[in-house]
Amino acid sequence: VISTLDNLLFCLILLMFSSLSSYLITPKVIRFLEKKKLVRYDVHKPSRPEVPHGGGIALFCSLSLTLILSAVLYPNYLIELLVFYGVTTLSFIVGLIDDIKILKGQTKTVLSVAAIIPIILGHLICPTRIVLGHPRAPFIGRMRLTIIYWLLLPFAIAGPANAVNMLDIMNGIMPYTTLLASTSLLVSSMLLGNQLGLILSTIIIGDLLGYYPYNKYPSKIFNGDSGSLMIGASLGALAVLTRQEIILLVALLIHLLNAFLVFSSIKGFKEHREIKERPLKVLEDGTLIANLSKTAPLSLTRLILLIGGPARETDIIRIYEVLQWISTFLAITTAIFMVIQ
Amino acid sequence: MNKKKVVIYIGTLVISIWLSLLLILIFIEKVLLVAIRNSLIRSVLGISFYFIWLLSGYLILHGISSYFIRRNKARSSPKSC
Repeated sequence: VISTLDNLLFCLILLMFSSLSSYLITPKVIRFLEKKKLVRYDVHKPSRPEVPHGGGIALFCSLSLTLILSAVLYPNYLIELLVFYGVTTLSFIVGLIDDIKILKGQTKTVLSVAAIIPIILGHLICPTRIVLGHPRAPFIGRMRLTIIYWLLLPFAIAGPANAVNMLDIMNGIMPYTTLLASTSLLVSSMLLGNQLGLILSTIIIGDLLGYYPYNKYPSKIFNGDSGSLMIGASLGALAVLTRQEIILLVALLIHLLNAFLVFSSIKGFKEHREIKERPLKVLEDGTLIANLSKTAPLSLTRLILLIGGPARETDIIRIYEVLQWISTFLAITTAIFMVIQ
Repeated sequence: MNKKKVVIYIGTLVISIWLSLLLILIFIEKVLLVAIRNSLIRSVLGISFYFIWLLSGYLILHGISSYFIRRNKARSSPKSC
């Protein structure tokens, strides 16, 4: 039995190791991507600089190393850690394929749905360790969802993975917002006394903390789909394995709102390159304005520009940061309501 | 850009979605699932309420977006005498 003090110490070790490893690995990945000419234009800047594309490689390497360390520190959670690693690996592979050879929107969505397989396999092999169904809800306790839960389960990973991917639109937004979302899961794991949640959220937080300095405005590296799909999927896996689905839903409200606006306006799964009209326009001086065409797809950024008027990239980034703080506060409040119940 | 205005508008929207989510969860779990004994009817009604919640969210969001698109178009178009 691990005491609380040991637990905190182990989590601190994991946090330091994870952040240090991603901080040290990322510059090497940047050099590698530059050497291989895997770069993309930063379209929101007037000079359109070329930026290495595929930061997911750094995030995945650091996550893998930290998961090995966590298996040594917490051998009693080996099965859960293996399942978690399976989900992140599958989503990373899907993202990496998309970074190298652009996939169609529908193909990417179907492949990201397949990332749930390790969880289902884990549940079939070890039903006492990988427990599915009846997520926790505020004021209710365990929900009585049966049919809907199994209908929605395939999207438990694909949902957050694609929602995070769709909001990965400007420098630093993805790591900043998901860092706060994982912090809310860390706090809720503490409040609910969930050790596995504490371990997994610490690993993700450390990973993003070390990586963020390279991705924040102005970015030295882009996350790529390998980064955003993997981080979104890892948050989904964390939520399913620790039954914190509702808390994650609230923590990712901004991402889900954006995904809902896009999906409902383009009516289906489409890769952004397949959409003819863009939701926003970039002027020569780098100012962003909303596309006023009726046929242009809706997105949260477009709505922000429609409400607030023309903006610089940094203005949009600051707004997303503030909105994510609101979501994080609501997610922690939801966890407190669960404790009260 | 008026950042304060954007944060107030979208922040209110996010808080409203959160509140409506809590309300629909509590209504279905504490009222609907307790009041109805038949499992099939319970499931159908539960799914229908979640669907109505999503549909109303869709209509409200698209209503808000259409309003702002119309307002921006009216502002950007040249005024006739």
